[in-house]
Amino acid sequence: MKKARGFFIITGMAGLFSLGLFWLFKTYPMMPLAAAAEAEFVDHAFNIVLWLSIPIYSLVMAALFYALLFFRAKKKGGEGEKFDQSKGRWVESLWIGMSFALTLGLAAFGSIELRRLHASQQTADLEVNVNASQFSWEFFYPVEQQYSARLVLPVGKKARLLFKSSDVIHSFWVPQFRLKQDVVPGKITQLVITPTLKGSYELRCSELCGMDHTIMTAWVDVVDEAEFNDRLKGESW
Amino acid sequence: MIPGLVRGIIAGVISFLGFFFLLKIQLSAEASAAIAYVAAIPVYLAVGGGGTAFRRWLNEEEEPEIHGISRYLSFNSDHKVVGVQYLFASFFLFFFAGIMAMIMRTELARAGLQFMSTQTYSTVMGSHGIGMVLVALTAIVGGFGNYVVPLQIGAKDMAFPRLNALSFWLLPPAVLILVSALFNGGFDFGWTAYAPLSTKGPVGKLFFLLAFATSGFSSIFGGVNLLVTIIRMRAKGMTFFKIPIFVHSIAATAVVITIATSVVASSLFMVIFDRVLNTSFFDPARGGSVILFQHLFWFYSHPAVYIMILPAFGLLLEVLPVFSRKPLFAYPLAVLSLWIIVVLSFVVWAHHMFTSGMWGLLNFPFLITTELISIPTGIMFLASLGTLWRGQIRFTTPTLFAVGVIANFLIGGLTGIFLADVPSDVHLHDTLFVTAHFHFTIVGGTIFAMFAGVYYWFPKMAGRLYNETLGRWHFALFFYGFNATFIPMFWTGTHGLRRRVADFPPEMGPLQMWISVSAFVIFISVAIFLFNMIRSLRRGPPASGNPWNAQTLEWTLSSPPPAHNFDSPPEVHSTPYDFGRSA
Repeated sequence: MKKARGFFIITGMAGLFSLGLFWLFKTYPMMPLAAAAEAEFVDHAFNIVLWLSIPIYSLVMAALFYALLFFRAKKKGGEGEKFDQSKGRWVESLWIGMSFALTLGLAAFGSIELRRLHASQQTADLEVNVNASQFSWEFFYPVEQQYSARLVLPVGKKARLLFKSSDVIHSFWVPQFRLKQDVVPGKITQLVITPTLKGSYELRCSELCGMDHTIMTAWVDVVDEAEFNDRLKGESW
Repeated sequence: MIPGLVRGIIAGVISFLGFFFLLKIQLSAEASAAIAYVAAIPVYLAVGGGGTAFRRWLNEEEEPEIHGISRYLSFNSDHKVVGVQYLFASFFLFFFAGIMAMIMRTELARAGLQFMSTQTYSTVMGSHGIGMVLVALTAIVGGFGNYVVPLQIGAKDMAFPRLNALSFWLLPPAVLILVSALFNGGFDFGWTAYAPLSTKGPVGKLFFLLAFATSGFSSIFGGVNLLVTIIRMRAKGMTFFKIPIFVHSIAATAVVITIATSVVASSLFMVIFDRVLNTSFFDPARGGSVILFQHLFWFYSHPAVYIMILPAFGLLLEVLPVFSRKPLFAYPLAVLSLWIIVVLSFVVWAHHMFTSGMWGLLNFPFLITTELISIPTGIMFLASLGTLWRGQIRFTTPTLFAVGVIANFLIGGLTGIFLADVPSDVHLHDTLFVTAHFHFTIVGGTIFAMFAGVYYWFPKMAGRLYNETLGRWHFALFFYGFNATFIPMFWTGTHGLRRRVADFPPEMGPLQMWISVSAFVIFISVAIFLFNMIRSLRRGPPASGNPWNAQTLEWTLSSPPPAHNFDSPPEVHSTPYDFGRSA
């Protein structure tokens, strides 16, 4: 009977914690607005790990609370019980088995999602050269031979960004696009992004690149195709 | 009589300046500074007291016993003195780096730049980083590793006592040159010093690299020493599964230190060579590779987090059985897990580089190895919960901090999965989500465990009891302040806030203010800790030899222990956690 009490209290507490946390993350989502097709891979991966972590967190915390509440010293100089070793081995094996299953599951799932992400990076409709230097961004459209201070992308088109750095390591990150890629001196790195939502987003350098790393930002305009063509023809923008 | 350390530092600084201006006639400032620094260290050591120790060693003389406060400022080979020296040095750095954190949080309380330029912010942020990294690396291993490990295994001293003194004595020059870097152009590369950002720029960056490399040597000496001590000098009867878990964790840590630290030292030397000798290890225009630096750096710096956390696990599991009055649950499995973590810690480094532009297929193996490390880590939770289970838990301050480690590290560990998972890491990398994650592991794990250890062994080291009420206040405020500071950072990170930046979009204003206020709660809690320690050192009630009723060997001695530890070599017959009654 006493053992059943522990089981019910812990599962009950864990259930309550989980519900509370589920509600919290539903009401205040952890991810900002998504404005690119590739964001789906990231959000999907993030959410799976989140939904899995909540019950694990709740169970361990419930067990911890239970132990602290019910096993506090009741009398001065009282000694604890020596745990039954045979039962201890059951618990150990169960714990290891469960963590193996969970870990391998997560690793397998992560690898599958990563393959999808890799696959999405193969083909593209247009190319933009992105040049980073301390502490500014510059964009070059090779077909139109146009330079620009803002990155303009047509909505719904797969754009391949080719990164080049002229000094130190920088990193391309637009939170609404999710994907991130370091811009490395001495080699060209790339990213394929498909914007899905018109608007202006901030590009933030996210690899510490020196004293003014904070202000190394630029704007990304996602526009429809007609406007994109207009702006590429225009002389100065 | 001026204490040895002060004498050494004065001689060291004077000889550094002398060498520097002499060399400057012919060489560049960079080269002069590097050579002068390397040349000034032997002068500092010789004048500080190492010279006398060396002469005594040559003549095979015994070290004289020194008493009183002045021994803590001398070149002393007693492991208990070295341990206390390490602890004080760590606390000094802890307060220095903590004040840097407070300056950062003051700047970040409001949007826009308040009172700092982005340049000062970069340097303050970098010195907070490297300062706290050094604290986390040395506080438990250097402090308790030196003080407690020989006592727990029943040894007279470390295997190489003078090397032990040397490993501490390399820290003050590292700290000095790090602080002087702030006034010589500062450094703008955080604590990671990525090339090619680190290969050019003011001489302050060189100072940073020298400081880092020096503390690396200190670490290696300490690691080798601990390893030999634990292998060779255990008491009779202390077989593998009768070693206290804290000693196991320090042995595991020492293996990681000796293997990994030499790699980061070499990568730092390569950067120094690029700067001073104009080599091109990391200059792509001349055949170098910037990604190579990251591989070398993280090959050390990922294991480095295990150098920080393994002793914390050991301490957690050392403290819990004593205060729940029960044997350590799953002790052999926990020991095994520590060693599995050692092995795995060397094959996960590239998870810091998922967005670095390395070959894309490398992401897969590193994703998998990183996820695997959660299995042995999970065992620590099993062992902790199992130890508390059906115990008679006494809520002393060490217990509270140990429980804090469990609660915090659970969040730290689970959020690590988000970062191990490549698809979600490409969003989270280099955001405040990462900052929050590693503060939950390193502050929530290592620093909380360090405080558990300070309170646990304070009676042994000081011979006096600390004030329990103040200890609980310290815990309550620290635990609250820490969680209130870092939990919101997960959210701001996913919503677009980068690490290491001095400003943020105005819509995050209220949350940032909340974080800054909470950070000051941590500051207040540490002030309470300081007050408690200073007061108890002078006026605490005297402690008996074994105030906690613990069973490891250090508690069989008086508090504080006599200079030569054990009168006769102790013998061990049972596990150190033979608490409790049979059910």
